[in-house]
Order: sequence, then C-alpha cells, then structure tokens
Amino acid sequence: MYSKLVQRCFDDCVNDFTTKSLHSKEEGCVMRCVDKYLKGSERLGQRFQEQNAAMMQGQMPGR
Amino acid sequence: MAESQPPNAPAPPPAGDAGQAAGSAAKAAPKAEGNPALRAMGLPSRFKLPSRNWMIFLTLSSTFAGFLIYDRYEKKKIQKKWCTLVSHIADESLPTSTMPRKLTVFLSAPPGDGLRPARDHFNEYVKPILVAAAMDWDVIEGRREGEVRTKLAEKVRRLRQIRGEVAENPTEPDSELLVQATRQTTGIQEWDGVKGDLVLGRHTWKEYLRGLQEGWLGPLDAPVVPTAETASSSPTPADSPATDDASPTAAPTSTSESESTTPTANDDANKSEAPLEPQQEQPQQQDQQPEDAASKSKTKPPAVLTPYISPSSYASAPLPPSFPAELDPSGPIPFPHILGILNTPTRVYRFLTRRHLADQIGRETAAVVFAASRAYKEDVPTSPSSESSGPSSSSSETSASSDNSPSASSPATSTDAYATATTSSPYTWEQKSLLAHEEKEWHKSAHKRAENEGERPWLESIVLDDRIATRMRRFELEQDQEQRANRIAEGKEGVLGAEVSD
Repeated sequence: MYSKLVQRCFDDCVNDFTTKSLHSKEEGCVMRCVDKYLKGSERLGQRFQEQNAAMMQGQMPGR
Repeated sequence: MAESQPPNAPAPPPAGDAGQAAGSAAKAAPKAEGNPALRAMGLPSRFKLPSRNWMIFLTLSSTFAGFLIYDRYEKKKIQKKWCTLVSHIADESLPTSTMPRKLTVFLSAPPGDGLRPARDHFNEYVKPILVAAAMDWDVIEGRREGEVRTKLAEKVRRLRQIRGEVAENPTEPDSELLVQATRQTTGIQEWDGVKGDLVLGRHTWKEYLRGLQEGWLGPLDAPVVPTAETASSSPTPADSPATDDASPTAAPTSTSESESTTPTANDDANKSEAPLEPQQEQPQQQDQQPEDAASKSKTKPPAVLTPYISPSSYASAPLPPSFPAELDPSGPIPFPHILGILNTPTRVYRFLTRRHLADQIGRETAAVVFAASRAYKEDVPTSPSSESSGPSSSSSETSASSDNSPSASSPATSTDAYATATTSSPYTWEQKSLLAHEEKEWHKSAHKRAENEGERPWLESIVLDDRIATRMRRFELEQDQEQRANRIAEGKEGVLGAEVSD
C-alpha cells in the first residue's frame, strides 16, 4: 500500500529537518527504499499466491 | 596438664602460619601482628590465604572454569570467522522472480537418543553459518531408524514422476506439487545452480546413501506383498519393476542374482550381513504391519516403509531415464555423540574442546555455502575396522566370484572387507569410510536386533552402486577460501565487499 510505503521510507530515511530539501543521501535512501519495498511485496505476493492456490485446490499447506 | 601448657604457649599453632608471606593472624601473642612490610605501607595487614581445603577447591574450580571459558571464547571466535567468510553471499541480490537456493538438511536421531540432540547440534554448529550466508534450507528429520531413508526415497521417486516417469500408483498431488505448478504458470524460476545436501552424522549418512539408491534404482511402486508366505520371497522384487521402462528381463533375473550375490555377501565376516537373505522374507511381514497401520490411520502413511529395493539388487537394477548426469553434492557433517556414565571422561573432554568441532563443521558448512564440490574418490585405502575379522579370506573369495575384478582391486581392497563384499565393485569408495569412527560410539541398544525386524541400515555396511557413486559429489572448501579464512582469523581481513572503516 502506498501510504505504508511512504511512511516507512520517510521514517527510515529522512531524519534531518534542518533543511527543507532532500539531501542526496536521503534521495538515494528513498529510492532504494521504494525499490526494496516493492520487490519485497512482490515476493510476498508470489508466495501468498502459491499458498492460496494450493489451499484452493483443497489441500492444506502442511509440512 | 600443667606440663603440656608451657610447650604450647611459646609455639604458635601451625594453622596461624599458613600465610607466611602475608604474615600470620594474631593468634600467637608474642609474634608481631601482621606483616611489618604491609603495615609500614599502611595497607591492611590482616591478610591470609584461604585454608588448604579452600585452596584445593578454588584451584580445581578455577582451572575447570578457565578451560571452559577459553574454549567457548575460542569457539565463538572460530564461528565468527566462518560466518565472516560467507557473509558476503547474504548481500548478493536476487531477481524477484527467482527462488533462492534451497539446501536440504538431513537430521536423524542418533542411536539411543532422541531428535533433540541432533537438532541442537545443527542449531549450534551449522545453523549460524547458514544464517550468516542467508541460505534457505529444508529439513528432513527422522525419529527412528529408516525414516530418513523413507523420506528421501519418496522424494526421489516423486522427482522421477515429475520428470515424466509413469508409475502405476502415482502419488497424489501434494501441496508442494501445487505450489510448484503455480510457480511454473506464474513464471517463477527455481534455482538453477547446485543445491546441496547436508547430512549430520554417520547414521544419517548411511540412511542417506540407502535412500538415494533406493529412490533412483528402485521401482516407482511399492513391491507387492504376497500373503505371508515366506517361500514366495522371489516374486517380491519381480513384481515391482514392471512399470519401469527398462527391459523386464532384468526383473526375474534380479531375483536369481540377488540369491546368488547374497551367499557371496555372507562371506563378509561382518555378521550383520548374514540376515540379508532372510530380510527378503521379513519385508513381507513388515509390509503387512505398515499396511495395517495405514488402514487404521488413513491420513498418515507409515513413517518407515520397507525399501522398494534391497541393496543386493542395486547392481541389477536399471537406471531410470530421468537420472541426472550428476547428483546433488553432499556434505557429511560430523556428529559426535556418546552416551553412558562410563564415558564421562570422554564427554567432559569433548565438552571442553568444542572449538575443534566448531572449526571442522564450520569448514564443511562454508564449503556447502560456496557450492565448491569435487567428485568422490574411488580408491581410498580404508583401515580395517574392528568389526571385520578375516578380511583377507573374504576378499579372496569375493574377488574370485566378482565379475569385473581388475587385478588392482585385490591389493586395494584386501584391507577393506566392506568394499567388495556385497557389490562386486572394483572401487573402494570414499563415501563408505566417511565418518566411520562414529559407529564405535553408538549405544549398544542400536546393535540389538529384534525379532521380525526389517532391514537395519545402521547396522549393515554401506552398499554403493557404482553408477550412483560416480555421480555423487562432495563439498570441499577450496584452498584460497581456506587461506582467506585463516587471514580472517588473524584479523587481517573482514567481510568481502564491506566498507573499511578507518
């Protein structure tokens, strides 16, 4: 979700409010944060989809 | 009494002189109180060493504590060294649509004990390095003898069915298969490199080899159980390979061959080989028990199935068409485990020298992580084990009866009763002697054979089919990685790719 992404990346990356504009370090951090967040959620979505499909077929995902 | 008192008074009691350097306590009235040197400096002079008994106690406890603390400190450093060696792998990126590399860890309860020691051993020595390298692993656990073999054989059979071999009773699609099917449709790739097996302990190693061969060389369907007739042991292997693609003529001849190889197998001085023949009869009784159990609990299959193929039939079994050119490499991990109150000195020694074990296991696990593998050695001179008596007689008989025995085999295997005893292989495979020293430590209850028992992979010597053994590989750490580990231990190097902070 977009709001969670924004919250997470802002909290982790931007800590210095002495200036209004973003430092280059913060810029880099934010970009990496978005990248990782989206990749992470994509992977999670894939795993969820697999398990969901397995469950839908009537088999409970056991050990 | 009046005579005894004057001699006592001038002589100070010996207890008060225990700390001579620090001065004695003020028991002796004529002696000056305390040490004059300490008194002159202004330090408290009422200083005495503890009594003799306390000294003994403190010496013993502090030496033990010293050994312990040193050992744990060194062990921690060593584990940190191995973790540092592999941690750069944790930072490697992976595309989102690729699954990471998944190792398989084989854990089995050691003889005479439960599964917890095996798990703890894994968690203490192997897991830190796998976690440092961010490896994914799957555990195959076995509570009783034969469970790991069963599970591994099932896994291999399922793999064969996925690759296209047809069985009469195909295994029902599991959630695992469904997940894999979903991945295929979604386009997620599995890891295409080497995966790897980690095997903990000699007992698990034996079961691993058995399970591997049973899975690849055995039939895809369970052997048909004849109705409790011991005379009908012959149809048991004959019915099973009916569905295999290879020539069906191998099936009836396999029985006769197995009958002929078992007498030569019995030349092996190791007594545990002798019940190989009656084992063909016993599996039927064993078959009925799991079948009864299966009918009672329909949801769970029995934990230990009878093997679909017995070791004597390995040589005659055909290779399946889906057999890969190379099997996944394996990493046998030492698992020293000894029980018994009389073994307490050994156990205390091991308790105080865990750093060596940590180093050894760390090296093996790092090799697994780096996927650095080599082929198993073929001609390994093995020392004669204590169980085999009269190896020369057995090897001479087997070399006479073996089909393909080059002259090199007899001197090489004269000291090893295991190699040519059951298989007529010219090779002394390295896999057979790995971790063999652990067998001496097994609890005696493991060597007891009960009535009507199925096969005992722990007690029997390893039978290796050449076709499987040549395709197996072993993880071994490369020289430059080893040197890098030494440099890390000395502090000259850190994590690969990490920023150096000055």
